[in-house]
Amino acid sequence: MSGPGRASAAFGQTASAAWLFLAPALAVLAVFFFLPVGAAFLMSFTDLDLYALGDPSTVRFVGFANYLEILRSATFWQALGNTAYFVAVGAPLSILASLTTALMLHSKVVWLRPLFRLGFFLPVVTTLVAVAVVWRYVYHPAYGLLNQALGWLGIGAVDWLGSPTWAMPALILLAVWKNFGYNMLIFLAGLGTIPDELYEAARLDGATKWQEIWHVTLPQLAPTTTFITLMTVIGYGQFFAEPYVMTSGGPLDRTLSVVLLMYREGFRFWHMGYATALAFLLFAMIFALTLVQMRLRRHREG
Amino acid sequence: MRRCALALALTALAACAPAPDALVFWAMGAEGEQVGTVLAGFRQEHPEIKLKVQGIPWNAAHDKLLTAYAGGVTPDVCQLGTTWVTELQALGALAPLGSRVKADALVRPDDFFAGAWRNNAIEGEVWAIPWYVDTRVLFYRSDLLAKAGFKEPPATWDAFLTQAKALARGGKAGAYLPANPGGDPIPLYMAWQQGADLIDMGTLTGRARAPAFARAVDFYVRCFAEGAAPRETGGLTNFYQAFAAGDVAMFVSGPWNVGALRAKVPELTGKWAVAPLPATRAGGPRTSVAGGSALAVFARSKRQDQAWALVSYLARPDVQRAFHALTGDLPARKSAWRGKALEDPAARAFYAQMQDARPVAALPEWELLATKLGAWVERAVYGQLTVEAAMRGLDEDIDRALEKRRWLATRRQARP
Repeated sequence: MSGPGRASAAFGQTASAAWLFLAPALAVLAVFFFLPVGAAFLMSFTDLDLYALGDPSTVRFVGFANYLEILRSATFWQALGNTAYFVAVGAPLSILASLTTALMLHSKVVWLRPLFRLGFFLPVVTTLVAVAVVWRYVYHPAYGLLNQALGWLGIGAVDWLGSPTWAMPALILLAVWKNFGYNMLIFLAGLGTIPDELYEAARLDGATKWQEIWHVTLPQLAPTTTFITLMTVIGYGQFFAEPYVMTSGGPLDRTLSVVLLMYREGFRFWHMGYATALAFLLFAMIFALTLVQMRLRRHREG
Repeated sequence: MRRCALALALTALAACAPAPDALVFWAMGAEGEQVGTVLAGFRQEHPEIKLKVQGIPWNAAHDKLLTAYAGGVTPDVCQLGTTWVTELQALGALAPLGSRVKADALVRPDDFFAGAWRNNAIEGEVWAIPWYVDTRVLFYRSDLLAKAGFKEPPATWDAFLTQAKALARGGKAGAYLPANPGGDPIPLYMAWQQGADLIDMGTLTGRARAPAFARAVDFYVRCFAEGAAPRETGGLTNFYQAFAAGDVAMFVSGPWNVGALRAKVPELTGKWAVAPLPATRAGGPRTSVAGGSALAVFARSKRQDQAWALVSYLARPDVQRAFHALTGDLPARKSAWRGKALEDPAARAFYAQMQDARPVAALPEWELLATKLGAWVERAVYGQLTVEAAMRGLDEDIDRALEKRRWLATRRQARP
């Protein structure tokens, strides 16, 4: 037998072994992921609703009607705008907060580092529902901590969650505070991998502290930052729990997110066809956004 | 961020443990916590029935019922909010009870409040038995009203506006009215008082553009525009404290707040009272909504006789009275209202209001329609749209929401 033949036979063997090892995971994925997703995709072309739950013969195939109705609905565009607002403001703020705290905790000037690290990470592991109760008091227009603090600066009381203008910034602040600790840990891990020689070299060249951060730390952190940006944008694009527990999407639908709209249509009004169509639209949009981000990164690196 | 929804789903699943030969009864919220006490008598009368009561929180109940139906794990007997009876009946989830009512001398339809009974009678059949009723009345701070020179609570909405404006001084809200969807649809009650309604049940289309309906919404919007009620109500997070502090002098709500106010702000007792809803014109009807809970038997239950025995037991006047003493819920049976506890002025005011209370439209889509009404009224309240434009938008939404219902109606006619 010639060389290449033997190699391909060996490859065939390892490949089948690989499939064997993958089989349980693939089976689980197929049953609990691909099958439901496929069913949901079909569902998005029907008007499956409450009536269909009782009598399946009332399901009608409606083609793209769900998708068209969504695109024509003002509420959807409002929810999409809100989600974009939340991502565009919340994600950069969150990453900046994570990076800043990580840099401070990594530097040797900060005292009691483990305590601060714990403090910054605690909100991440606390349930949002419990956090929301406390934050509702923080935002209370008359007795809230935030308005008290603003009062010392001479700024009048704001009804944070009751005002169409301020409800979203209030939720963004909450989300950033709640989530930045997680990315901070990832940044800290990334900072730990930067070799000290680079800093030594920079110092020998007479670099200031800021120049060190700008020319050594940030470029070395680029892969970590890319990963964090991607995950944060995806996570913030699906924001749901904050308006669900704090504002129910109001006032004036100003904090209604796409996922909250989906939940409301699906589980409150049982418009399953409409809700699944919405889910696939959201998927397509987040997917497109991710592609753009990856393309940009490749462009920068290439 | 999705952890919360996941946790909800998991608790819902965990609560579905099957009980092989027990009669399963789902009760919600405070009723679920308290009903065990009155069921002692039932256990004594029926030692052969293994009764299992499962308490379910109100905010998870609706989703859980639909999920249980889809999964085929419905209970035998269930407490249902009145608007859900229509929904589950449309699904075919409920067992018809008409013939059982006829055979049971203890359950007399004419002894129940008419509005409550009518709500569960769909297509000439009885689908649930009213358990307790509730309606909405006006809660007011009698001391603050007196101090402002008003001896009586407002009998008309115009008087309500005048009084609320007079009380809204120095950062205080005269009245609390829900500006956002999710609250009581008070403009709907105002429209009922003028003979208008949200939906034309014959054609299954929206009637919000009708002049009387638009007038009611217009008045509601004025309450906010003229400063009688605040649009932004973040300050009312702790509502009972706000009422005690005099930040709110009037609001519209249901019987549970009688018990809640007595328990949470006892120092306020004697300084507040309840009155029937104001009328649109002096001497006119003071119509409010008829709500509450009913008891239904599920069609899939294998213990229909036992299930009915439980429903019939809970519908007895003396059991209803005992339950009222425990929960403060208002008995659905008129004969249960004889007794000391129910002579209290607050309970009497609710009794009076129940004489002029009507259920909302018996449509499975009600939850959606009420949300749409709230959302379009909100836009008018915030001045984004004129009332006329908002009502046009509302009618379009209603017509779209009821499209399936209309299609089903024509299909049923086509197939005799």
